[in-house]
Amino acid sequence: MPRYIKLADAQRRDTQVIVEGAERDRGYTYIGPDGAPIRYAKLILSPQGHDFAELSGTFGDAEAVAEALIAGDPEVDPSLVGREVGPSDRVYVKADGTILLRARYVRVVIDPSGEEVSREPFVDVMQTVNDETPLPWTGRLLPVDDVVRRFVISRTVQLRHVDGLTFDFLKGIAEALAAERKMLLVGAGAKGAEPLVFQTNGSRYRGFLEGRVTGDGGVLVLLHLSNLELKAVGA
Amino acid sequence: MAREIVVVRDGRESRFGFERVSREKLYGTRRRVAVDENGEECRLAELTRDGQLLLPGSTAQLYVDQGFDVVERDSLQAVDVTGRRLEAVEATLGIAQELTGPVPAERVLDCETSAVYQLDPAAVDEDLLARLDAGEIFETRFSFRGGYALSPLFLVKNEHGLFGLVADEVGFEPLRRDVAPAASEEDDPFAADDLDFSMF
Repeated sequence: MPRYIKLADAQRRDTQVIVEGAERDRGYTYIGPDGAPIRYAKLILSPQGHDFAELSGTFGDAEAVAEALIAGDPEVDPSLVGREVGPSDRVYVKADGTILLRARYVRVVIDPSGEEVSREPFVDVMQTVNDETPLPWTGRLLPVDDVVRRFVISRTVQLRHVDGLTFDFLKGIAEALAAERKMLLVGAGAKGAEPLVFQTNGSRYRGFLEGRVTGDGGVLVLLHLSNLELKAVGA
Repeated sequence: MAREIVVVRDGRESRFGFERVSREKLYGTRRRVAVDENGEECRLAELTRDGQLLLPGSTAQLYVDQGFDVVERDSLQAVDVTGRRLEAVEATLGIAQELTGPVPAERVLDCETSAVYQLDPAAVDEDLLARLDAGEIFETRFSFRGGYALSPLFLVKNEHGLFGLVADEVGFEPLRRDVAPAASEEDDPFAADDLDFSMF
């Protein structure tokens, strides 16, 4: 199902367009040495009760555990080891190995040196890009050459039309940006100052809208996303 | 000897030490952590449908064949979409790679950057450095560990230093408006009909 976002142009007209990510294809797959197909599998090594902590509780200190390992195979559950995991649910486990039934979340902030600087109740980061509230035309145009030398573009999505009118809308944006060879800084909120968040608690990005005219009547409107500046570590 | 990114342009070689740049190193991190009633951090685990609790480190991920026998990684063969077996490529570190360019900024925008390295010139061609200073961008090929494909690596320079952007190429089809052909009387089965309203 296509995903829609709402976007405004320089004339403050807004409309819904489709946003599509790039297809990721590394260009190859793996086969076995005999040419037969293979697949990735996730197997059980040791279920709860068979790890070192549990064995220590049963047998005593590390030496006692070592003797138990020599005498038998207490770390192995023959009925489970090597079995494919299959469908499973994610749960949180407390330090005592029991399942956490009511999770409370905190936000832990760690500075670049690895020091924890704060720990406070977690507040959901709400989605800011949706099909109802238009991303405004910020009017902040940056030269293409500057953008690629200042920001790390880690993700790119294409904006696609849904009909003839939205094609003309996107074509107008592409032609305007391509003519100046500039990119529009895109953000969320009334003034475009907020980060782009495509799903609740998702990554925050700054967006840079690029327009290209391909010469054969085609256009490209690409929203490049960045959450990293091109800066030296420790500078 | 530390591994280096080595490029050659017009027969002149340049060598760079490198360090990974990441959000963690520049800005730090923000983590969402689940805690219990005492504020103690909890670990994420898996609960299978038959009630087995699998703590971190208690599973293994590997390749298996159709008979569920394990296939070791070093015996895997890579094939392209046509089924043709691919030759493995070596890591490019320490091996001079041809530098092309300057390339337009749009070439960088045709890719998504997967890793950023801060480059420390160990021995660099002066002409290349001058061109990078002037804002030009150059491209070479890169693989950190080797594999079956090399990635583009772009050399860019700004006021903060010299950087290598490792990238994945992405392609998008240009948008085109599919214009319906203009209606002609030959195609219109109702073209000969009179506008006869008397039948209403």
